[in-house]
Amino acid sequence: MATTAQTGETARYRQKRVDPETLMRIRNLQLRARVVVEGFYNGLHRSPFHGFSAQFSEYRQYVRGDDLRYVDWKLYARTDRHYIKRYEDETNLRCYLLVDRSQSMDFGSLSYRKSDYATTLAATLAYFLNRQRDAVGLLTFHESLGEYVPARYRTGHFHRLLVGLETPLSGKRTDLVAPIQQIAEVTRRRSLVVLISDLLADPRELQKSFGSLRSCGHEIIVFQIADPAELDFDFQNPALFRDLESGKQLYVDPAAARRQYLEGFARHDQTIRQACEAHGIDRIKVSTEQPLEDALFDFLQLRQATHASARSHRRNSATVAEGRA
Amino acid sequence: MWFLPSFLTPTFLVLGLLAISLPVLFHFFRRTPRGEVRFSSLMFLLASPPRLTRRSRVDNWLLLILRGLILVLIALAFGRIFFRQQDFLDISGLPSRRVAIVVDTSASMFRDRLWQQARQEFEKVVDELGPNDEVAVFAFDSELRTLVGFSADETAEQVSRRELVRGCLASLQPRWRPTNLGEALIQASEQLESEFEGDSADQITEFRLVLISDFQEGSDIRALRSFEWPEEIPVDVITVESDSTDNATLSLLENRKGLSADASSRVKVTNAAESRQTRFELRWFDDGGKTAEVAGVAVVPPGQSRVVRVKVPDQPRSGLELSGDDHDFDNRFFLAYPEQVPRKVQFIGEEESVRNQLLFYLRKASAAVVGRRLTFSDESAFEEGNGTDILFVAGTLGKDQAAAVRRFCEAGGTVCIVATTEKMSPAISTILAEPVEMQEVPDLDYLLLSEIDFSNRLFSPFSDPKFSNFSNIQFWKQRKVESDTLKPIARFDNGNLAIGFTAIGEGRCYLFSSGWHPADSQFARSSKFVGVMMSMMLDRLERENLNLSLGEPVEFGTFVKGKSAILVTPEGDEIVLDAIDEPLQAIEIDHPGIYQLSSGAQMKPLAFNLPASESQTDTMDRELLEQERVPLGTITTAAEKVEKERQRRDRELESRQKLWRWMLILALGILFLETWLSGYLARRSSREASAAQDS
Repeated sequence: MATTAQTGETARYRQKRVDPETLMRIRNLQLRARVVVEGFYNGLHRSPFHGFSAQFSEYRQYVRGDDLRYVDWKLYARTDRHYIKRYEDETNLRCYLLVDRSQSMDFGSLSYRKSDYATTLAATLAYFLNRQRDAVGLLTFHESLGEYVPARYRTGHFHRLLVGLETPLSGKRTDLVAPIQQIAEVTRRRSLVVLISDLLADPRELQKSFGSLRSCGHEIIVFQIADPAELDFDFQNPALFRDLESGKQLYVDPAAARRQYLEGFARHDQTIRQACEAHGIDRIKVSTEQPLEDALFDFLQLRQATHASARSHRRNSATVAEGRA
Repeated sequence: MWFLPSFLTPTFLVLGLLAISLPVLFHFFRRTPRGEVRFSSLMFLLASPPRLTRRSRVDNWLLLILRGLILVLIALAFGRIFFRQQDFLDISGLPSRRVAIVVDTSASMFRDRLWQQARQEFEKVVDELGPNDEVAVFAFDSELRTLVGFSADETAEQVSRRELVRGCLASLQPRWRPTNLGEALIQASEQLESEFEGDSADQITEFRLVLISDFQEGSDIRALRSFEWPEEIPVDVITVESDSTDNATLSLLENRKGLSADASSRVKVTNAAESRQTRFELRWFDDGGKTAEVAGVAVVPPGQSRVVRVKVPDQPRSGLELSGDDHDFDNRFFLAYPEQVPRKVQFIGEEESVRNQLLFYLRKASAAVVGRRLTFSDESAFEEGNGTDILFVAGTLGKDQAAAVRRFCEAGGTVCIVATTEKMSPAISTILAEPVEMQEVPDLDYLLLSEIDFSNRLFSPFSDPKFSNFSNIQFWKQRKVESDTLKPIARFDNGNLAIGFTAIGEGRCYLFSSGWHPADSQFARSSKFVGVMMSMMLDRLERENLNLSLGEPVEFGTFVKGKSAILVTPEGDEIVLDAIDEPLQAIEIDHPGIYQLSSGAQMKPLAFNLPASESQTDTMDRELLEQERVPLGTITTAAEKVEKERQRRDRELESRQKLWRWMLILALGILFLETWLSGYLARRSSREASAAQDS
């Protein structure tokens, strides 16, 4: 029964999605993010997702050594007992958005480029998380590191993130190692790291850096952005193809090169998938013609699933402990 | 007659000529394939090279030449071509300048070969000056001295004057003085401007001040803050630097010997910021300069200072020496000890128990102060001439005794009356020579001190708000004293006099209206007690500082009394000082050491040391001068001057000829021709093409 209701909700939300073509016509990045998130909330009216943050998980009897800041004094007044208010982990979520600003993101076969889509996605996630009082940080990268905004929740911080997102594209290649290592260095606390990139770089690099980040206990979600033309390679006429990053030029006849391209792309995709699976990283493949709400929906579903598994894991370990006792 | 084509801006000419290659390049660009597709990454694609149908070749030579010619003409116009007559500029034809060369002779120039370097730099500057330049040379340390003034110019011949300038540093040596850079620059700039008059005034086009110095951080440039630096005088700073930056210095924070054998002195060791050494050894040395074994070791990181304790030797020493750094000039700190005369304290008064209680606490308090020699007499009766310096009256006295106390005070002694009973009023009346009413204040809860005069020497150590809280000292018993002569230093909160003071003859008399023993109050148990009592008992002369800095005015009159005195240098030379009651610049004192000052029977050792600032030998940031609005510049050599002058004349010549206009007009003409020709050729080829099609 619950499943049916949920499917109905999802269908209703899918009807209300905004076409990215229309969305990208809005020039203001903040407004774009707002349109997506507000629309998403309206679509999910009475959905199981709302308000999953800011929920405290339990009251616990005070034991010596607990931080006094968390003692619930109102409860003490009523019951004459000291209790600790425990919040769900989500309220203290720190999220770092790693956004690829390399030249390869400058490509777009639609009326907008991959980079427009990626920044809108990043802004959407930042707006969404900011709305639920989570700390959001940003690191842009190309061949080297770009803007860095530490994860905070405070007035005006969202604006800083937007400014960081709107820096021009640059770089001759995409370095996937440096930004991830940088994040691993600056964040001591467990954080959620969201990588938004086309991942058009050597996938072996990715494997290395994922490992170091996971070993620090961070949770990683990868949004792999691709243009429809990159996925299908449906060019018609032979032409001189220019690499946006290296500037290298090649004469290519698409009719002849298509099969070979698709094979190469699939191999690359396979390697990335293996790298993600090996480290238990969730990857969301997004085509730029897909509505942004889909990406947000997938993101939330992943978070929800992670939480459910974490909770059940906690509960199981508690049961085991009780059994032993 | 004009010949020799020249260019005012040859860079544009070169760029323009390079641009001629552009038409050729464009010609070939046309051949590159069209239809470029931008793609995110070629990592999944392989190359399939395009086949070119035609070989690249030049179609029309005439068009190419015309286009090249246009660019050449534009390049010539932008290169600002002009023609000039052969014209050699002579150095002697240069306008004259006024140059003041200021050479640092402060003590820090003793380091390494800095002085030799300074002299070499000086000679270099003098060599590069033009023959028309007016030069003056100054030396400075704590003051500015004129070695060769501008006025010497008028009398002496140019050549001999230049020799005079060149030779003026030959016999000069650095002096043991600190660096007052600010004042020296101000005075030199004033000399540059003030003597600027006479026949040569019209020819002088610029002023220059050349500073040759080690430009050390300890240089005092504060004087520049209150001086508006003349904008037309730029300062050219020539810094001489030592190869070694390791330098540390020391200064003693306490100069008195301790009471016990294990007493130690505190020594502040400062290390230069760019120093590489961090470990320094400290040794005492005697009059002959011989050093003893290591007295202490200081480990000081670069750019910091540390205070270390050094054991004081049994025999008095001349000073302390530091070793471990590369520069010796500031490694010795000379020390003069004030003569230690034990001060005798006597307590009198007929009530023995009270007297003993008060004395007990006073002994405890004096033991807490290291380095003070106080001896306490146990005699209960006062005898004139028994050597007492400080006399406490803590009980009733006979009339004779009271009169003796008064005489003692008039002769310069210090008397402290502690009113422990109202029966003391006759004795107090005799001492103060006025009728004093005293009355026991009954049934006190407790009283606190108020209206404390912190400007008085008794309480001045506590004047800082951090220490001025006296509200935790309670008094239980108190005698109300009514006197006109006593000036209140502190009152109780009921308005009664707590501590009073009056001067009697040459001596001082204090009165406490409550005792410090527990029967009266808890004053003796307060930490403030030590400070108050020691301020009262210590003599002014005992606290005087006999360690002086070189280069500062010395008031010898504060050390010895009299009109004149003799200062004996460490080498044994005698310097007669007249009118020592007036401030005197320490001009004759030319190196650090211990000097003996004597006037009549009085004799005092005086230690002269280099000021600590002179040991800050790191190179100062030049921006600090700019912050004081002193413009920095580099002095131009005669050859550079000639080149500048030539450029100026070229500019004038070019602006008169204005050949660039003609070049542009010609370029426009050829442009029209080229347009017509290319249009004609295009029409012809299209006609030919259509004819071929038709056929």
